[in-house]
Amino acid sequence: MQTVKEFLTRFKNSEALVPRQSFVHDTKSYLKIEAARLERKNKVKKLSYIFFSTAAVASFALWLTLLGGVQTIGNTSSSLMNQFVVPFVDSSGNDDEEPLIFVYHTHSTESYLPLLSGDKAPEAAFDDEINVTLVGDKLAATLEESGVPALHDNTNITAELQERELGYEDSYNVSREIVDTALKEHGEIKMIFDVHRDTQSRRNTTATVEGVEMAQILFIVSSSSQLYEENLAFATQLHDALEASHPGLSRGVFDPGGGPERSNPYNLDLHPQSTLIEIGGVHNTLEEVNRSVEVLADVITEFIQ
Amino acid sequence: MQIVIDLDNLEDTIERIYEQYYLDVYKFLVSFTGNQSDAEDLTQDVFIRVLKSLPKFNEHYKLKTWVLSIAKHTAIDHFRKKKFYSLFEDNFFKQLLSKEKQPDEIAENLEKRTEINTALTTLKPQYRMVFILRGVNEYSIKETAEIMDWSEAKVKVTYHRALKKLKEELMGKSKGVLENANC
Repeated sequence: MQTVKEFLTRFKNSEALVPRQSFVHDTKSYLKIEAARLERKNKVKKLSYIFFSTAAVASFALWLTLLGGVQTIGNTSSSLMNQFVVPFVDSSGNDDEEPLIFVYHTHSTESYLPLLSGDKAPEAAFDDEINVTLVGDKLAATLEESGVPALHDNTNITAELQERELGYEDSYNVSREIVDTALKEHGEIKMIFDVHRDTQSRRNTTATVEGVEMAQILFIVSSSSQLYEENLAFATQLHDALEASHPGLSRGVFDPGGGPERSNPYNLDLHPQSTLIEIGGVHNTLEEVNRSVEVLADVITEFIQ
Repeated sequence: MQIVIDLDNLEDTIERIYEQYYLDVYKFLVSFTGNQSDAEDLTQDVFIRVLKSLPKFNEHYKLKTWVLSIAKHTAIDHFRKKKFYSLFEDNFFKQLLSKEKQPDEIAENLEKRTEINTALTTLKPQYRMVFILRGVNEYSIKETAEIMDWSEAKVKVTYHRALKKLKEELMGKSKGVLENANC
């Protein structure tokens, strides 16, 4: 009968049989994160639990008895609090000095799992308070300490998007306004950094340099930026400098490229010496991130001088 | 393309499997459930199950039919759950489940759903599956038999019955329309 055939043809061509692009993409990331988690679990299982627990008990006993652990326990709660209350960078202290470096965050609520309470999934590592702006604070503060005036913008772009009823994909349009304003108000700006955190598995965002674990740094450029050549040269120079001082800390310079729907200039077309930078991933600790930020600040300082 | 299952590199392995089969799985599930958001949830479930079952995969299986048989089990589980919910007020649960969805998204889903749902969901789940695997996903009788874990003869018979039922359903619909028009 004609009807079933007709039905089937219409049905097979129906748009409803094709999944949403964003769903396909998100599911892939989700699966990769789950795969990495599973892999880690399997590896840990292979190691002897007994070894770890014995070592832990022994060192805890040592700490309690010999190293004054009892006192430390009392102080821990307050020091933990201090860790999060990183002072808001007050560039007014150097008001007479025009900022040379501008730091901002397009995805300002990106956060790190070890900093968040509760057992959150990696794809839920976002927070309105404890987030990547702490990293920007640290970067700006370190630069200031070494005599490089820096301006840090910690606008909560996600909140801004909600207020204006825009989607997450509009983040770069909102952050563009922030960069525009900064450039207009401060003509001396020499470098611009849009600081993010990556979503990759821990093993892909952590490097051990001279025995110390650090959050890896990845520079992102975009071939759809009109200043692509300049952006690329700038990011490459920074990468090379990091590679020289801390081999393996930088993961390199990456251009996500992709189809027309993904070709975002990431606002890098606003300044030749601007780059998007991923510092660590969802699994990195604040200590690992801070260590990398200090090294990055050193490299930037050298560059400026 | 031959996909190598490397248990020491689950990330790459699952990525390749996903890229190869997500369309097949989604097509099967959206046809079966007739609903975009269910199909999305179930597609994720399927690949998570695939990921966790990789150590159990062996050379006797063909990857494609193995993945689709996991999709089949996922769909059956979902059907049972749905049946349980529908004992209560159907709409009540639907509202609960789609709370985070935007209103226009719901409207869009409904539109697509009604088009798909009309005839297909009247079929018994097993008829529906065989019809989708053969008719929509265009798998061979042999592949369908492997996925359903049936004999090829049973696939043939079931497919024919499904076709007949669907025909009746579609005829009945148009007859109903005519009768209404005469009123």
